[in-house]
Order: sequence, then structure tokens, then C-alpha cells
Amino acid sequence: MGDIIGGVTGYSTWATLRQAAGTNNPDTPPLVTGDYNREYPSGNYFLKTTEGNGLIRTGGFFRPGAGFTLLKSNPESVGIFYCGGFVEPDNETILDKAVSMTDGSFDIEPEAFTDGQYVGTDPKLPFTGVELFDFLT
Amino acid sequence: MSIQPGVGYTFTSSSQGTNLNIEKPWAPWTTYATTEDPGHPFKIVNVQIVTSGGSQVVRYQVQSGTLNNLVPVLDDHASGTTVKLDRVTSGVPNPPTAQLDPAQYNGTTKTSYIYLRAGPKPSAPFDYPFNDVSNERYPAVGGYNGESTPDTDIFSYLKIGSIAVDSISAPTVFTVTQFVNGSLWADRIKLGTETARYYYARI
Repeated sequence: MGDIIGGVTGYSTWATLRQAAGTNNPDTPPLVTGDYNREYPSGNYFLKTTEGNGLIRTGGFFRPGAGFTLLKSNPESVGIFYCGGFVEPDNETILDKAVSMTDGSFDIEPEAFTDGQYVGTDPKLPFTGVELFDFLT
Repeated sequence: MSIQPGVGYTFTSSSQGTNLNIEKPWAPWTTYATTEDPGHPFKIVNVQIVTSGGSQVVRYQVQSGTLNNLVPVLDDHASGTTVKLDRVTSGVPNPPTAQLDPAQYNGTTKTSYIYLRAGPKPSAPFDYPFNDVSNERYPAVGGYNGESTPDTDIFSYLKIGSIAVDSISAPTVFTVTQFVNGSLWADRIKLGTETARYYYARI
């Protein structure tokens, strides 16, 4: 299936296929956007890869960007972790990599890409890092 | 319908009919090495050395092309203004003609590097490039002395070609090198406080 390159609005080339990784950490700062332009703000919301140009594959214009989500259900206070939007081979690359939270850490398991990974009770949010990634400074 | 004699074939007639003899079925292939680069977007053309103000200077034109559907401008020496590359005006040379000043040459390489420069709109929506032709962030082609002019948050620089001379103050010969041969789509991406990066695709 093809992807739209060179459209008249939005993104035309690299930004169609590559993005920074997102998180669900709180206090989401606003993106600075315009046609063919995207600025990711500093903070603990977006992640860049430690190697390369910092961007990861998105899988295409119509697919959501990749990111990490750590949820805390109530009232059970069960922590569930998801990896979404990653495409081959990035999903294999981040498998088994460490995710750090305020009060501990865990390694990414295959369930994180499907039904969600159980990461214990009462996890201290937000998570503070993902191996192979850095928060934007 | 009848076929007349022509180059590469002949007719012979006999009691059994007419024969068509193809002696040279194909013309020799033209080698690309000797073929002039065809016209294309952003091609540096009509480079010439002229006398201006008692000095020898280089002037050049650039064929029209687009960056994200915008036609860039060029400093037109005749009018002293920036003019779109696709200008078609009676009585003036089209496209506009730029003149290289000494400051636009690299003193070591005696080369002026022809860049396509563009910048994002400074206010929302932050479109790249800014489509206000009167603003300096609108796409513009010009000569620079930097062999590698780094991008900034404000401007992207894409080297489309270069013009080298034997003497900056009194050029007598020049050499044109072309690096870009098509119109472009580009994206601007900025991660945190890092300098913005610009990604291009030729169309």
C-alpha cells in the first residue's frame, strides 16, 4: 500500500513516515505545527531515539504515531503498559528493553503490544524513561 | 500510399516485385557523456561574464522550480529586487538574472555556492516555507560563500549548484556544477531545543 508523499497540506516527506515517540505522561505541552512543519517541545512527553536522527517509523500517514502508555486502573490500582504504533523491526528492537517508573522498572514484554502488560499494583506514575530513548531536552 | 526513398534504406525492383533493403536500421546512439544536460527545475543557466561598473562579474539565471509548490525568488540585478523564477515579463530577460558579488565567493575555492533558502512562518500556523513572497523566509535562491552552510531554526539551506571562477575580482572563465535537478517537497522537524532539521524529496 502506498503512502501519500507530496500532499498539498500536512506533511509531505519524512514527517509522514517518521515521528518522535509519544507518551501519556501528564502536562502535555502543545505541538508547534503547520503545513510541512512540526516542532516537538522539550519535556517528558516526547521521546527521541538515542541513536540516529531521533525519529522512528510511523507506518504511514494514516496510522497513528508510535508511543508508550502507562495506565493505572481504579479502584484496583493495577498498572497496565502499552506499546502502540510501532512497526517492524522497531517493535522487536524495543522488546525486553527497560522502562523506568518513579518507584521501579520493568522490561517490555510481548503483551505490551497487544492486550497490555501488567506491571504490578499501584505503580508510581509517570514513567521516567525507556531504554534506547531520551526525553526531549 | 507509397514509400519514398530515404536515408538508411533503398528499393530495388525486379520482375518478382520490389525489395526494401534496410542498410542502416538504426542511427548511432548518442552517448550521454556528450549530451548536454537537459533543462530541468533549478538548473543554473545562462552563466556569463560581463563588464559592470568597470569590473568583470558573473551573472546567472536559474530555471523555475518549486519547493512545496512555491516558486522561489532570485535577486534580480537589473531591478534590484527579488523576482520569482517563473517571471514572464515582456522586455526583460526571463527568468530574472542574478549577479555574484565578491562577498558571495569562497576565497579559498573561488566558488560561489548557489543555495535554495527557506524558513517557516514565524506565527501560527507555522507553515514551512512561509508563503509571503515579501518576507525573507519565502524560498529564495542566491549565492553564498559557504561550501556547507548549516541549517538553522529560521532557515534551511539546500545547495543546488555552484559556480567556480579563476579569479574572484576579474573572472575570465567559470565552471558550473549542478547538484539538484528537480522540484522539491520538504518537511521541517524540530526536536526540543535541537536545531530544526529539514528533509527533502525530489519530485
